[in-house]
Amino acid sequence: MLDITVLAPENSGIAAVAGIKAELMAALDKAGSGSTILLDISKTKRADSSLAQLIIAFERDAAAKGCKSVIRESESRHSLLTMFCCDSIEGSNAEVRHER
Amino acid sequence: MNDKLIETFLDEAHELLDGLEDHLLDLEKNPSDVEAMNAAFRALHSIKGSASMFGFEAVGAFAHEVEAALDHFRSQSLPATPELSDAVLRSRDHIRALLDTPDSASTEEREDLIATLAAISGKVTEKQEHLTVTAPKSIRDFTASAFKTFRIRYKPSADAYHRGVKPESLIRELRELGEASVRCDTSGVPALSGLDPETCYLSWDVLLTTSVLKSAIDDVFIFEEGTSTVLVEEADHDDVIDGNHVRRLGEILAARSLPEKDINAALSRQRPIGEILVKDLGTPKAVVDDALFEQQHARGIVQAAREESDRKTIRIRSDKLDGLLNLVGELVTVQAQLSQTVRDSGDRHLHGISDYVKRLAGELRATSMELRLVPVDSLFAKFKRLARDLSKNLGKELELRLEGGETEIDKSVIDVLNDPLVHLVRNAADHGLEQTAERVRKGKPPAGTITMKAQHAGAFVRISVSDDGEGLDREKILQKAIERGLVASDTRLTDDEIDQLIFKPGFSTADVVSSVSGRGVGLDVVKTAIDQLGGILTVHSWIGKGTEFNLDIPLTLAIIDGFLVRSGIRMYVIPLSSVDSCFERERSNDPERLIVRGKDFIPYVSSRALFGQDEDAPVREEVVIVSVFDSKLAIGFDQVIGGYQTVIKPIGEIARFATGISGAAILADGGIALILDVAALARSHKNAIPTV
Repeated sequence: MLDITVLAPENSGIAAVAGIKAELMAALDKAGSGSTILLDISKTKRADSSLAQLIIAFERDAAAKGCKSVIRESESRHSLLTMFCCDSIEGSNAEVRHER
Repeated sequence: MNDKLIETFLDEAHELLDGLEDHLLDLEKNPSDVEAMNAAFRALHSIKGSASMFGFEAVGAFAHEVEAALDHFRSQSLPATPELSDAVLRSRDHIRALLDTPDSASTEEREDLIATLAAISGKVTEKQEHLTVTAPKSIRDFTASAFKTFRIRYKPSADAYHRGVKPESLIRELRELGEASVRCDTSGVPALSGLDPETCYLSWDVLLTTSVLKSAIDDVFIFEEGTSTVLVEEADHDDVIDGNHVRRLGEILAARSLPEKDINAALSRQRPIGEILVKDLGTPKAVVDDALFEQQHARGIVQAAREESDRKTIRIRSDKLDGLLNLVGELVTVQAQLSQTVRDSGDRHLHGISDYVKRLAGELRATSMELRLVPVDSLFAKFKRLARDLSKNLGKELELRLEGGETEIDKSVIDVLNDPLVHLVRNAADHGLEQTAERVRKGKPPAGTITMKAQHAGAFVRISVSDDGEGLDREKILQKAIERGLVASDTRLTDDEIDQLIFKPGFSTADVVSSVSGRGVGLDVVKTAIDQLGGILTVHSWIGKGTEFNLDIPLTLAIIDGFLVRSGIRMYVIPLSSVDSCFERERSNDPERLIVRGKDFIPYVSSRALFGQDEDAPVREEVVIVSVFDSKLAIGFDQVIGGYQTVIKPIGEIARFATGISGAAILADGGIALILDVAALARSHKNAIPTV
């Protein structure tokens, strides 16, 4: 089983999302069923809903492939909820672990 | 403008500023603390709004600048930098100055702060808020016509990001308008391979309860008109809230025309009703989800309203409370006289009425006393800032620990305690704690700790200030005391006696006069203040480990439950809370200095020996054992009369020369009883116990 970490840059605004997407896709290509892919956004200082929707897509694809997706969040910022500025998220049913 | 309204505004503004200081100190410790950031922002926002309303334009304008800087960080979820926290703390002090002494508040400082804040925040676009927004504060508000709930659906166009729109920022603006519940729908997000990073696939559902008009909501989406989907409709919440309670999911769905038989069937299956309706009975999931979403929103609103209602308080000027307490004091005295007169008359009917009046007076007294009690926390909270500033000024790492903040004490005592405690904390930081490097060298944690602790002990509250520094340097203290002629050079003193020298007027061991302490003014001022409160100040020190100052303060300065005793023709009152036990015995002509009770050796003294008495002593005496903190004393009296509620009358200068007397009380017959200062008596006889 392969564990892969993708580190999101400090500035993960919309201009950076394409790059993160490419890294996540490459990680999904490499990973087999049962692998864990960790997306680390704990160092990210700037992010918005464009990154959040990318994370949703990644979580779903990882689940479909039998991979475990882990999102490492910073202590109090840049959780999916803060990026979406919401209290709950509809349409995300992927099994995902969020680390703090 | 009505003076009372302005007074209320000023009170609230000071409270908000105190809160702001707390939040900023929290932010300094944890710059990513979103809650602290939001709370600081809210405090500033409130100050800005109400200052302008009450004619404090300068405060409103300045608070706006500070708020803008803070919002720059908040809206972008950026952590607070030390420079931001420092500038906002200084700004907070400036706002306080503008409120308290507007004429002396420096314009240069204001301009300097505005420039600093602008530099820190990169001067984001000026944005003046003209909108006054109110969130519902009570359940009645929630249902009142002034507050409406809007259901808002926002689906940005696919090219929203491309157009530079940040949908979440618009949602954040909506949240500012009232109490909002927000749900983001991500079901339109495609698989990763098909996702275009610059296409928005999201939509938001918002329930917003607010006092603003629909036009204010429309304004948020003004640049989205014609390009994105924005639906705003007023929600009828009657099917969700009934009076003061949020309806159950089944009730909400039944009101929304879901078949009653389906709901009853779901209820009988002992699983969450929503799950059964969707999985077993084919109810569309969206219908249940919408109902749950609104139920959750309503619960949040009702909970917030209940919390607000629980916090309801009224403000009363403390001098009015003083007046009330004085009247209650007079009532207690008159009631005692009435009871005595009725007892003498033998009238049973009057006796019943007198007992009832006594009970009412007692309850009134207890309630009045309670009104004046405030948690020590309100005093302690101010020291967080002091500790922070001391740490910066002295270049020492310093942690302040606060314990027992919930302990309550008379408001008048709190007011007097502030300055002595400031002296003690300054002294602990300056003289007590070592420099950081020295602490590390000694194997101590780099940050020194100062602990402020409050606890009840009978009729006293003990407030202690301790540090984990180097302890008192007794050699240096003694040397300075000899140099200043406070003691003779050949005097032999115990450690405890040397420690007490630091309370002598003008005493200081500081070699350098610093801005923090060491001007030779300090601990004697503390001692005088505590003496005037009828309290006791003691110090304990351990070389290399630290120093602890204990301030034992009477819980109340006005009325006490006493224990009336007689010695010859004189009457005395002992504070009831200090009475440990009493017993009767035959009087001895040559009484011992110690008596043994169980395993304890307790110093003994006769009241006749203490205060003098010419009359012949009765054959038997009644011994009362009093206890204060860790000291006990047995005092022999001619007679114990019993419980007696009394008003303390200060005896001023006389008390200074009469050891063991703290005040006087007027008795029912108009006579005078002296109130014993049990703590002082116990302390003065402590040395009678032999050391083993």
